[in-house]
Amino acid sequence: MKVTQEFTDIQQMDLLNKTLDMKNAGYRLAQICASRDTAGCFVLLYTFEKDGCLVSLRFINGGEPIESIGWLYGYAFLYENEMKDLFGMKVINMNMDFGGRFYQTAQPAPFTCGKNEGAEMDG
Amino acid sequence: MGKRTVMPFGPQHPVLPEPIHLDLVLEDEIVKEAVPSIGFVHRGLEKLVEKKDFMEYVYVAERICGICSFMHGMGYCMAVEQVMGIEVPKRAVFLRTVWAELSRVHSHLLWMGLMADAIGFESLFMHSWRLREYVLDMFDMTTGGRVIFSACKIGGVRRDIDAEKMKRFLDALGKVEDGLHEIAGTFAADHSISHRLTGLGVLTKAEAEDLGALGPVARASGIGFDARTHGYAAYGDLKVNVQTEQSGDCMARASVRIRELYEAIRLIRLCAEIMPDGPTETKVTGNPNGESFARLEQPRGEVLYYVKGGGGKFLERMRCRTPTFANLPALLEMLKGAELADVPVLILTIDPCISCTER
Repeated sequence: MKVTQEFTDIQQMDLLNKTLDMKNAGYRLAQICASRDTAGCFVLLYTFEKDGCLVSLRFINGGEPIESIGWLYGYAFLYENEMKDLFGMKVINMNMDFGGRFYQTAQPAPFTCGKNEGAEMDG
Repeated sequence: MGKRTVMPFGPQHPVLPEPIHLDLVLEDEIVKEAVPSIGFVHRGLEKLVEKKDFMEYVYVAERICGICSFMHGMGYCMAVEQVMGIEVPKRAVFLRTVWAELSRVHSHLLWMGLMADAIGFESLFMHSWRLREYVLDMFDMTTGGRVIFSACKIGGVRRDIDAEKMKRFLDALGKVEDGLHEIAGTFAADHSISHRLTGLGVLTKAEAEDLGALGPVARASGIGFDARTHGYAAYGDLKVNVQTEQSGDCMARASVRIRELYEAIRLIRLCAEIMPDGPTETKVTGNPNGESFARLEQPRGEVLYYVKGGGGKFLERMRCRTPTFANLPALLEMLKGAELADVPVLILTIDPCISCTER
């Protein structure tokens, strides 16, 4: 079976419509990945899967709230709470919001620190 | 309506080999809702990728989990190899598949023991883990390690299995299969087991799809999804028979795992039969520049690796979405309406790996 990977850049305001398209096309939500770019903005990658094909929607977030996709994919709350707890992002209208207590971390939003910040890990 | 009580379950509990916390909202002894929280042993290994050379990070990836450690290393290597356009020698790909399937045997035997222990069947627990011990010896025989053996590297594998060792390896596999007949028969036919597992924690196919269930949890509900059928590693040369059940209860999940044990043994034998001769690694030059996903079918379900490199020796991002993390919504659904006494069995039925979840 042929497996493909596709990365598509979108605008944040198109997220819900594009996600709805994926849902209607029979894709499942495979993961949501957050990261920081060099400018300090968040980079979001929403990945969907169907028949071995991975389609990822990518957009840049400057810190403004992101609308939850939980009404389309009920289990998105896992990833959205992770985004909140590890990256300190704002996600609104979540179907299950743990209020920052999904991950019990020693420091808030630990994944936002730069490469040379935070606890020393390997000397 | 009875009085509602919130009972904390975990992070330390006899049935939990690793720490996860659930707040169980009970009405009398019936679970009305379960609220999870994780992070008690969160290690931030995804973040660590920014400080570790991408070649060295294989050792870290293997330490995400002590049960499917080889598959974590393999998934990370596959993702980096795809970014760098590295073609792994065919023999190395087959060797990876052998160890990956042996990891599945290890994991499912461990799960059988834990489940037997949870329902109070101590002799079955001991027999399951006795067999698992043979599997660890097989890892030791072929890699020099029993739990974390660093056999996988970017570009191939560090160890080869010569003909003489492969013969001993297959002999040992035959002994594991013989032992498996006994415990699998007990699991399938013993009244006390079926009494505890049948009809418990039913997850319908529609619910499993809506909740994003993966692995044996999904397959026990009739979803024939198995990432191996997409042909990564040597699976393109092997025909994987996906094991499914329809009833979606704890017994169905046990049945799927038991049949997957036999399927894993069959695949290992097939790999040994058709494995080509040749080199086991390719020289790696340069640094990863680009992004890619790799998907593997771990014992608990599909794991997704995403790596992104910018041309330096440190990756910019590594993402590991593990199957236990994805199966949490299914677990929460199963717990609703369950009796408190069944909670340990229901938690174990998704075969949770908190170490993977707390990557």
